Amino acid sequence: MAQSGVSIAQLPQDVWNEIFQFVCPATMCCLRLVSKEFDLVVKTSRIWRQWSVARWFTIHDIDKRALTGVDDFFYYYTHRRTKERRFLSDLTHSINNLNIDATFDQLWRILEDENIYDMIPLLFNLSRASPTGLEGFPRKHIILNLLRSLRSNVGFQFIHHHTLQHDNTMTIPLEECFFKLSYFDPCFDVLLPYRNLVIDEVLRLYHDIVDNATMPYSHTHSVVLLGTLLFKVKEKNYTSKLSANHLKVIVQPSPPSLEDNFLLRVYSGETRGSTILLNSIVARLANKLGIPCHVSRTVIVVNDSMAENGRSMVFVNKRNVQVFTNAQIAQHVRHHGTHRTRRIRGMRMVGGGGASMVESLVKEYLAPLSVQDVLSYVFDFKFPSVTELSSLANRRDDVRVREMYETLFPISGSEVSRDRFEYISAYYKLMVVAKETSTSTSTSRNDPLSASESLERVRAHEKLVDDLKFSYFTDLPFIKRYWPLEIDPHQQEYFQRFAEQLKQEYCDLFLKHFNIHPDTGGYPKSRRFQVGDVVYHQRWSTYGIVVGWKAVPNYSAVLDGTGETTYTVFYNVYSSGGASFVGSMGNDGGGIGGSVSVYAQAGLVGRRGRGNENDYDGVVEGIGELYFVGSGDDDDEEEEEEDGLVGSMILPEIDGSIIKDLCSHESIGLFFERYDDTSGRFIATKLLKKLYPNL
Amino acid sequence: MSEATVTLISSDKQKFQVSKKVAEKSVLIKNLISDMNQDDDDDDEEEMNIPVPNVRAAVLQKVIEWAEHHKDTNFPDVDDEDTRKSTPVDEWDKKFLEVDQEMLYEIILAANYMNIRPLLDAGCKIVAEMIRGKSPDEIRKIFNIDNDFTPEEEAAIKRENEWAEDR
Repeated sequence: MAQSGVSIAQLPQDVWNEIFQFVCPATMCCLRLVSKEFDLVVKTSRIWRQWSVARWFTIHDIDKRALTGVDDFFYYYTHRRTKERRFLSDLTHSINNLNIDATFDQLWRILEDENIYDMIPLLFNLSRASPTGLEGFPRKHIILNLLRSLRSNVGFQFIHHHTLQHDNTMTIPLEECFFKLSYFDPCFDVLLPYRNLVIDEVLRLYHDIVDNATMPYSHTHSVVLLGTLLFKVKEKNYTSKLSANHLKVIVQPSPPSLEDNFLLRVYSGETRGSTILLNSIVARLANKLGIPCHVSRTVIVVNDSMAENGRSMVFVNKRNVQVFTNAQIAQHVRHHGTHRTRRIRGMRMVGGGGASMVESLVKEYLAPLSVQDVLSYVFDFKFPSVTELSSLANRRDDVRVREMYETLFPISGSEVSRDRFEYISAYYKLMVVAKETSTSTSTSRNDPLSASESLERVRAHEKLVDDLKFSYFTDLPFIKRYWPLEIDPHQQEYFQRFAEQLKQEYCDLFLKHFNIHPDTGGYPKSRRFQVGDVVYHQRWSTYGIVVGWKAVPNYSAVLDGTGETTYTVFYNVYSSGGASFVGSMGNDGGGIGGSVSVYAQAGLVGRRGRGNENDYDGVVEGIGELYFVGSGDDDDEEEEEEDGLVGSMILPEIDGSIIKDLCSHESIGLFFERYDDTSGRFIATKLLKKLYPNL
Repeated sequence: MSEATVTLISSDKQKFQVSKKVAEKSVLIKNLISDMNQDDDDDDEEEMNIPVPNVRAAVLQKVIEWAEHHKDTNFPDVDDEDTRKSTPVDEWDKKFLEVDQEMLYEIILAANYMNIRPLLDAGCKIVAEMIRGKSPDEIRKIFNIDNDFTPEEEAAIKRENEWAEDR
């Protein structure tokens, strides 16, 4: 053993594996070049497996290749990294491209590539990477949107598959079905971990209780216990993310919301969840424990030998778990009919039907739901109506709304967009119509839309262009892939035209969406801020970045006859939120709308960027009376009626955390490239520079 | 009981008497001791002789020195990989491992064989530091080995390595 001249190089492979724990992949590559022996040691190391798992497989990755050879993982890792590198350089190239058209085409091409899914973990890690650093905003913006588009594609695929397939024999647990739909959630990746967290915790608590119980638990008791524990666990997760202040607000019951049908929101505790969804979770938990049960329209039917007729009905709703007997269900059915009797025949069973009638109705009432049922439940009719939702949406106008979202969604930081949801619904309906057309058994559904009508509805969806353009334009290649050719043979043409339209309007829509007016050349003397300046809004106590401005002639001055026209300057300000407020409260969390507000100059203080003729150091002088001049789209505008803010105000200290907070806004990449520390200003993107060439 | 000792015998038949607590820093020896105690229940303080056949005296001496020093150290859990990876090498350990390559090689092997995780980690970290950021040529010099690749083979590997370049 102790012969002289032994070197570290001769350590056995298993010891080298220990050493590799402490080196990086790049060092490994270097080691390969040392000698043939090292090359072999490196290639056959089990560290590649470990790195592959850490880099890809722990993220919801779909790649499940069987790797058995000694150096399989080395080659797997190497090839995948090589592909990622190529992808990243393509992407960087697209982002840095001066030409917006070309960027659009390139991104489109990237998404049409089938292998794009391999890039999910990469995109995921990049989207998580240090809250943007202070650089590369446009890159982050695009990466986030690519990731979301890829995720929502799974949802489209799911709808496509389960609506169009002709035999309904394939069954998956309903919980899984809701999970697939939650891929549409803009915050999918943020909320994903909560699913396993909650399931594991509930099962752990369940075993703690049941294993120590003196009496055996019947199936019914077990299911009730699972339901109770579910509420306990998900609320604990949620409230741990809330401050005491939030807790006061949250006591009020929230109205039904879109998020109630998004599984991950329910796991994270952000919403209570609809009954069907809660039932599906509890049934999934029960199935994991080997308890036979299934989910019907309103209850979980548990096979329980101790119960009458060998079954019991468990009802999970809001925060309660109840058990019903057969008699209660029969009575309920006799009084209310089933949803189907009501829907199809509009009949009501006054006085009750015959015994056999009731029996068959009960049977129908307790029948297991299929995936198709779930889809139609979510997209078709049972959903909280749009009017109900619009009351929620209207509150957006209020600035306090930010606090509300923060309170409602402290984990994900944003809501599901109603527009986007409607768009997905329209797509679903199109699929339903496509199926009915192809089977040509045109039995009337509850919502008989003709093929062309449905098609138009999807196409003409009012907000689609807006919505897709800024956050989800990258959905299109997927929707195209799953477009029902049965009813729309001109699909190619349509998408081409659509893409062209999107491209051309890119800049215009950008303007319209944020109410930004291009620089027309005039420089009113009273203009204090420049695009990219960090400002502080006095009344709302928020920080923001100026993304645009507009000078409006002050008519009172004209009428006064003082001769010189003065201007009132309004700014489009991209505002910051609280520390925990990651997303903008835009349409879809990725969203954009709403996060840019229009403020009059009087309310703002800021520090002056360099290169401006007016010397200014954190002090705003009084400016004459301000009048607000509307300009069509007044959603985002806000009137400043204060009298001139006479006197001087010192800008509160802008420290690193405020900048960091501003930088973490998701759509900041649309406006700015990065933050420049020396000048204390944000540097505009090419897109914004098109509008304000004088920056 | 606290003064219980065991005798470790190196490959070249040298005997080292150490306290049980120190010896049990090696999981291998700890398991051996508990096995032996199970065999004969009557604890009559008979002398425990444990051969360590893969380790020569000079190396065993060093390993015992390390174990004596760390008698009362609480090391992170073996399964706690993150902590194990992120903690830098202890200053004393660094000094302790400033030995020639042959000795380092043998200490690492001994730690591996005797299953002394913290010592093995320290040794591995030292080696990792020796190669980190070095060019293949520098690594060859450190380990005193020759390049046995043909230029074509080298070029092929470099191509495969391209992904790691810009980091």
